Amino acid sequence: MSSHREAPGISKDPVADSTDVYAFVSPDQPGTVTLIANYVPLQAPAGGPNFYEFGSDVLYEIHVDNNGDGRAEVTYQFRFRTDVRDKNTFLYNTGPIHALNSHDWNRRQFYSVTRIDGGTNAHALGSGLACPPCNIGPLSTPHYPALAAAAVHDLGGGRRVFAGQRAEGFYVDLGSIFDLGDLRPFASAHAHYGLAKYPVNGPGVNATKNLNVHSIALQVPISDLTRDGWAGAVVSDPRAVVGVWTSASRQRVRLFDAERATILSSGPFDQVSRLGNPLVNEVIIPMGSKDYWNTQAPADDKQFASYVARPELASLLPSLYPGVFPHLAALNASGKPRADLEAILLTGIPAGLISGFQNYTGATEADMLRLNTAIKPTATPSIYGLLGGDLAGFPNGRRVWDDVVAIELRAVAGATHALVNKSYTPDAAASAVTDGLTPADLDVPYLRSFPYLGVPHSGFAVPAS
Amino acid sequence: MSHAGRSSATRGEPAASRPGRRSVLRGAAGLGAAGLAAGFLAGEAAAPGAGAAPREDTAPQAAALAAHEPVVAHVHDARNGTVDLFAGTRHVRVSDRELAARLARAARSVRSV
Repeated sequence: MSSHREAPGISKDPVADSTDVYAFVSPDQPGTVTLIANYVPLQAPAGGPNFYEFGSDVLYEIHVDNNGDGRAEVTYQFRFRTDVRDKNTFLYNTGPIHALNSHDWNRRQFYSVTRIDGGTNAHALGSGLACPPCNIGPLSTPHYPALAAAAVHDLGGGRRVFAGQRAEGFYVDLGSIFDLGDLRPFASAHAHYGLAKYPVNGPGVNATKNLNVHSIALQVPISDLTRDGWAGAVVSDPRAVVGVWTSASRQRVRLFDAERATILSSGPFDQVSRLGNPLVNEVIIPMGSKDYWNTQAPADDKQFASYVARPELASLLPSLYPGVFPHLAALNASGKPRADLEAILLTGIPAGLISGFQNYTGATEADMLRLNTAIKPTATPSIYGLLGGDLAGFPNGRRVWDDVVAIELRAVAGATHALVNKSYTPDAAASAVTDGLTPADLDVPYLRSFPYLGVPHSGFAVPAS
Repeated sequence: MSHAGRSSATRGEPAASRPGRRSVLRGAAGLGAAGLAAGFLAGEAAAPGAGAAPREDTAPQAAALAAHEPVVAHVHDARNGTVDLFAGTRHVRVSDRELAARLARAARSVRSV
């Protein structure tokens, strides 16, 4: 998936698992940027009685680099605490939860937001902010949309924050992708290892269709993030571009105190999860380096650059789909580094390659979502972002509806290589490859306004996922 | 101008609560108050800012820390006498052969709980 359970270590620690990060100029508030960091993947909505929540022992962060060095000039920290009203009931709620301060809601979470400038200067933006409950069902959480909307908190100065459960907005056919890349729309072209188990083309199956996730969403003025507070309209201005990634950190020591039946944490926080561009740690970084990658900073990603320059997936496609990607096979055989992928994922796309666009942050190779804030939202977006001619979409930042699976599949398949090598002709399949999904494969629509991700599925409505 | 390294967290702890020299010393004093490390107070702290002896901290401060925070000692290298101490969001490494030896002896001698 984008980054759900993408590494062996973090797959065992879902509360700290960064699954998706989004960064986009807000379509309904174009003077602002919305940052969304998702954690706690693959939530079955009916997962009671202990419904999903953030980790009170996890440090969640959203980082912004505004000078291209792969280090954070601005960091937003989120810390959660859990309050239990009555420890003598097994119930999450003892009656309908009509409001965030309901006495019938037994297990509540609150959080603080702190902005760190320059790695040292801390400014509290909010504290004691209430999360909404999980969406349990029509008796426990009636009028859920309104209940969750009450958990959007105004931080002043045009800033808003929300932290809580949302419907998973990332769509992907996991079942086909991890069954040796047997993309259902192209199944008849797959080699099938001689087994021919699924030789007929078919539509994609969205593996996340009925699942929820926990989101931290923050909307701030563009000038809060950019170098010198720049908020202009000149796309070519280097100050227009910011790099964004998220992380989760745990304290260095965890000790299970059996007498108190609790885990004690101590020591400094160390990073255990991070995420910039979707799918990088998932399908670019090899298994032996995934956990280590999660501990590193974007500024140090040069050590992983060879995996981007010669991605394993690019070498697999011609084998999995014999005869479909001859030009990609020749490109692989040439041994030339994939400068197009290095630009998209590690440095940003320099000016001059795509008319009217750049999100280049300099020579430092760093895995970050790069957002050119001078490019305003479009009224007619393409889910294929830049590949669909929509300059406001991935890999210019990432919107909730962008089809990052198809975009990255196509890029790896060679669709973007002609940007850096004019003599290269992409295979016809490179611009068509997909897992066969669109936002129409989600049951819950995105919201038109903050926090944009849809109302979570209720446990009553989706008793089995 | 460059700032944060891996993340603001990976350099140690949330900046809002990053300890100064005095808080590191309080952590060390807290360890002594917890009774783990008689002899530690005279030990040599290897962590930045913790080089001076923490005797300047008062007993009530140390007791307050011990009451609210777990203190964890990890004998990193018994032969060299390096011990990692964790308290709150702090981590200090001390070089104290006597402390390491005492902890090792205690670990061998105590009954399982």
